[in-house]
Amino acid sequence: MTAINAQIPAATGPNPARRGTKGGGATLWAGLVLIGLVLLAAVVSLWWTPFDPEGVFSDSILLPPGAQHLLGTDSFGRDVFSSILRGAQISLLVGTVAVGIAALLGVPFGIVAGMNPGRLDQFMMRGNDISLAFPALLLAIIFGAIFGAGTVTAMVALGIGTAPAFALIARSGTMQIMSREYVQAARASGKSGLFIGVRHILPNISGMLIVQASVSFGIAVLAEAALSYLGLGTPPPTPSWGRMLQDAQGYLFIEPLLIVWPGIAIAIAVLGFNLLGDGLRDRFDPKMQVNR
Amino acid sequence: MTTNAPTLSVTDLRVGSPFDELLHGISFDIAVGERVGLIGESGSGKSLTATSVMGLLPETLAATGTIRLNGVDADLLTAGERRLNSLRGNTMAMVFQEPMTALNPLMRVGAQVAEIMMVHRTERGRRQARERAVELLAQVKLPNPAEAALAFPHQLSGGQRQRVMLAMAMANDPQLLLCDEPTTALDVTVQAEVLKLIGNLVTDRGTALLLITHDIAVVAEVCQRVLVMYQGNIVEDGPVGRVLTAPQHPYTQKLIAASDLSSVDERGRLHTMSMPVIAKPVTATPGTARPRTTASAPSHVQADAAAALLLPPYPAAHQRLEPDGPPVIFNEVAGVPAISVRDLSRQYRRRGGGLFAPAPIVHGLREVSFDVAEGQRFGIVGESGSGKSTLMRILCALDQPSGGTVDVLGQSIDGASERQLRDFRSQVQIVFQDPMGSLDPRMRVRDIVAEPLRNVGRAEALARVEAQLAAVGLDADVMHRHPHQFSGGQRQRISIARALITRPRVLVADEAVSALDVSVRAQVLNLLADLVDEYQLTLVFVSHDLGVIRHLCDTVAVISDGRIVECGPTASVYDRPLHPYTRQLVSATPSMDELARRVAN
Amino acid sequence: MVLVVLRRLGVFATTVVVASVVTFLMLSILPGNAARIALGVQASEADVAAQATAMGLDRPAIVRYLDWFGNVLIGDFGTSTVSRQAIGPEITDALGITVILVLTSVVLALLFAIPFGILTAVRQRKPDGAILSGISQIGVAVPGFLAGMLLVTIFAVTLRWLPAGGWVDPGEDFGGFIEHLILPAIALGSVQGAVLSRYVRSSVLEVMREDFIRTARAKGLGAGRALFRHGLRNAAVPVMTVLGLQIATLLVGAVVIERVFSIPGLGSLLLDKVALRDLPAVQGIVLVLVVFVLALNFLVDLAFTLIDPRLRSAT
Repeated sequence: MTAINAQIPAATGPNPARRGTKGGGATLWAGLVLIGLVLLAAVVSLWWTPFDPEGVFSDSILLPPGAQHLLGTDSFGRDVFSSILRGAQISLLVGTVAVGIAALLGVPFGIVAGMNPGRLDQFMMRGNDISLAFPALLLAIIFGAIFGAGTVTAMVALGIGTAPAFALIARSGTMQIMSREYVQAARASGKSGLFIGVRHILPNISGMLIVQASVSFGIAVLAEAALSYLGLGTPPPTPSWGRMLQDAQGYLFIEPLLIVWPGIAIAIAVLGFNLLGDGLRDRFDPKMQVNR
Repeated sequence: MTTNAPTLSVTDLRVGSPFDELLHGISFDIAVGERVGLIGESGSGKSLTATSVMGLLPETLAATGTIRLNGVDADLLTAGERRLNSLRGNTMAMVFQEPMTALNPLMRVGAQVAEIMMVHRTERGRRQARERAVELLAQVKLPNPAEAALAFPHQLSGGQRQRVMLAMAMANDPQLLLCDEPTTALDVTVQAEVLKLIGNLVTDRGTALLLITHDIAVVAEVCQRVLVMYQGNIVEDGPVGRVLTAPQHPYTQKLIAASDLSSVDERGRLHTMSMPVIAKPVTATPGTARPRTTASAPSHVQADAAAALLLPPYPAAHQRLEPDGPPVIFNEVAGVPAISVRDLSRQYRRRGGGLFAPAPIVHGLREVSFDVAEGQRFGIVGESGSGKSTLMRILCALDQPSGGTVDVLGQSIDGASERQLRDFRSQVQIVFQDPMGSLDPRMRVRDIVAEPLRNVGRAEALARVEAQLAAVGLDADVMHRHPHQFSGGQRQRISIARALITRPRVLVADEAVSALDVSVRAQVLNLLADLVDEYQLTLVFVSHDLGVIRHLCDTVAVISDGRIVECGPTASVYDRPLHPYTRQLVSATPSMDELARRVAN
Repeated sequence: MVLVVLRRLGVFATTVVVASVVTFLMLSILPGNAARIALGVQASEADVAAQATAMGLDRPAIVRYLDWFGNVLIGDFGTSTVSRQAIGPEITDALGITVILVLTSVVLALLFAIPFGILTAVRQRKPDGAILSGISQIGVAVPGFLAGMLLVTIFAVTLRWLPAGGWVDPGEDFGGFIEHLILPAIALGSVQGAVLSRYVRSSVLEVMREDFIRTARAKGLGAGRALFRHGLRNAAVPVMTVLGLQIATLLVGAVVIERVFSIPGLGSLLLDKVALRDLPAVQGIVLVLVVFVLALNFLVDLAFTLIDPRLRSAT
């Protein structure tokens, strides 16, 4: 549908028939709403939580959900709702830093590999394959053993562990863009590799990188929860969803609800980022659009 | 089954999405054994017509009207899925455009051909179907059919895959064969063979044919009758000979005129389509674009330009490469040529090979030698894999030769560093084929066009971009838009503006009009011709299309299998080809006159 | 074909060696003086020096690496700095348990993911397809250890059908072995299955848009038959890639699940050793885990070659 319809002023934007099949909308919004909830919890808890989530309150241990304690209290007598709100901070912090480190390491690596097909690319990708054999969570456990567990260790380890995924995406995107004629044209005009990488490749692969960032964010939230559950994440008394689960496991027989609340919180955050990623993918990926 | 009823009868077919109607009530019949061509440009609705008949429209589109097949009482549009399944591949069969992707990559081709007989139980068992598949592959003239049956699609060439598709389509002797651009993705010589095969198969078996294409030559080669589609309507319906020589509808007249690259108007320009088809800015900016070439130039300049088409300024020698003969320096120019290539070779090391064996070497170019004189319009014609793209890339210093020398404008570019090439980069520019891929979708037109400029201030750059856009017939207000807002022809104008902004002396065009519809193609070719004159460019035009080269270039080199096999003045090569390969190529791309003559016989 | 396998095998061996170097660098070089770590901060310089000599730390790094890796190749993982016992037997016992758990989970994940993914793809535009797709989305968002705890709450705490944790050797009591395997395998497999089913879905959706599916439809195959005869094998190719990449995730998932169910596998062993800062033991366990991932990836690669004829020839 190009040439003949071109008489109709070309700036008609997306094809109306296509707009009808573009599935990204609802998914995207659902994702944004869920992420918005988590963000709201994190921001509000900076200044206010119903109760102090970091103390020990021996007069209110293991209370069921009620009017005063919306989601009940845990084995230290802390208000679960307050802990959940405050826990959002750690999840978002770890996710943001880990994804940032991963993108900063992985994207340039992938672009350089993709722009230099042949030996350099093969060498770099072998290296990448080996890093893939050290998954983020394993790396975080190893780092915990070496440097001692903590939020910073977890963020850095998850970031390094997630970088290979970014490198893979960036490389495959770069290889696609490198075959485009506008890159050839830029090379024929004597433009440097750096110029082509920054002006042509990075903007054109940014869509898939954003999708990857969103998906990786979800994975980082999961990994942080797992690490905290294992006692290798954020140390007490700072509330984190993973450690709430660890605490709750000891009281499975007494108060099974205690695992439900942090579980739901984790699921909401991860689901939000996954839905956002799916929605963005539908929007960016031309393959998802129906041809006629 | 009555013989006088038409094989296919389409009445008032409308296809549309909830948003707009794409086919506006078309009606036509195809008689038993009749071969009908359906021609139109992209977006005219021709493929939708075929998919409607097959009942394979995308879910988002709905069709109304009636489609009847001879001997089938039901209307295909309302028939149930079970009914359609029994008809598809049996009573009616279809061949698609993309030979690369239309076959299952994980299944042997023989099994894929056999499957269509198993599905409709036209052979007794698996073994019989396999045997019959081999016979069918022999009938479509695949070499070693028994072996070919065991091949996977990726082991076959595009032409061979299309033959497999044909074998599959004809397996159950359908009454109706639909072909959607069956040869568009193929090389011209392969295209001619496959077309001949389609013609023979349907004639021998009395199968009715609906052949969909954008290429009038394809229709003339195979069909008896032609339907012309334009914006979802059939605007003309008649015998091929009559439509070719005496088209009735204004659209058909323009289409045929624009397709004819051998006929020019009194100013030496191709006939373009002055219907609403023309890209908007051309009609919108008559004051800025055209005057540079038409109004401001005195008429005798135009006459000279026309004469230049007939009489190349440099009497190029017409030579061919003899089998086992010595290497030839083609088009040797006395003095300093603009481009001088000697013994140019390029080998590729293919990945893989054995664990210890060296990787196999593929020869891209072998000992190619030629000159291009200053101001010459030099065409390079060849099929895919001939080495023409490699040659083009080396001429633009995008690739390095494995051997030989390349001098452009007195500078040696083989082995030169990027720093040494700085001057060269502004002197030699390229226009690419793909109007979608040649412009960065994330950049604005002003940045795209200004990209080749070096050490030029922002204000001056913008002024030059504006002037350059005007020169290619685009308004200044397009500067701030993004590429997706333009049609193919407009994008190609932007590409040309980018290439010319550094005022290069050599312009290399890589299939610069191959992706465009004929109507747009004529406009872009005219523009290129004008600009080459105006800027006194040396033009190297690489293409698979002999017709385009014949129109635009004074000298042509024919390249095949990494070697130039023949080179000389275009008219001479066209009229008296010396090399057998050139002869094959010329006869596969007939001119409009030649077509009309063939149809008349 | 044989050549292709040999090449892959060569690449695999190189990768294992490089991975061992990385592991060694991370756990033997990066932390600094292992003798100091073993003895603690209060130990005197002389004690540390003696300990370093005893552990062979006074030798050059390259010699220590070769010594370590050479011994690993013959099954000797060295001695623990904490228990002073050989690490090898502990690792072998734990590895057997983890392998059983992981492989069972992979099978469960595939059994769930393939039909579920296909179903959600085929029913994409129908309401039930959307609901199923939503369920798998939520499945992806639930951490495996949470799924494990929920299963324990339901089947062990409330219904008391299955044990809440622990492990029984299959040689001793096969029924007990199965009872102890069910919940952790489901916890690990269901989450991985949800992830995989998303990939199966998108892969099938992609394949349904391929030209050769249209060809199959034009041959007279119904939509379902076209998908089953031509689509699924093609859809399997990208899913296999993902499966290869997922294996690493599955393994670290197992580490956490073992902790939930108190299973004495490699994961529990690793976490115990990390808690004790027993770096030589950690180094051995990490190497085994990484080689396990690489080996499974290698097998997936080979399976690829069998499915896709384009990979068999040429390269």
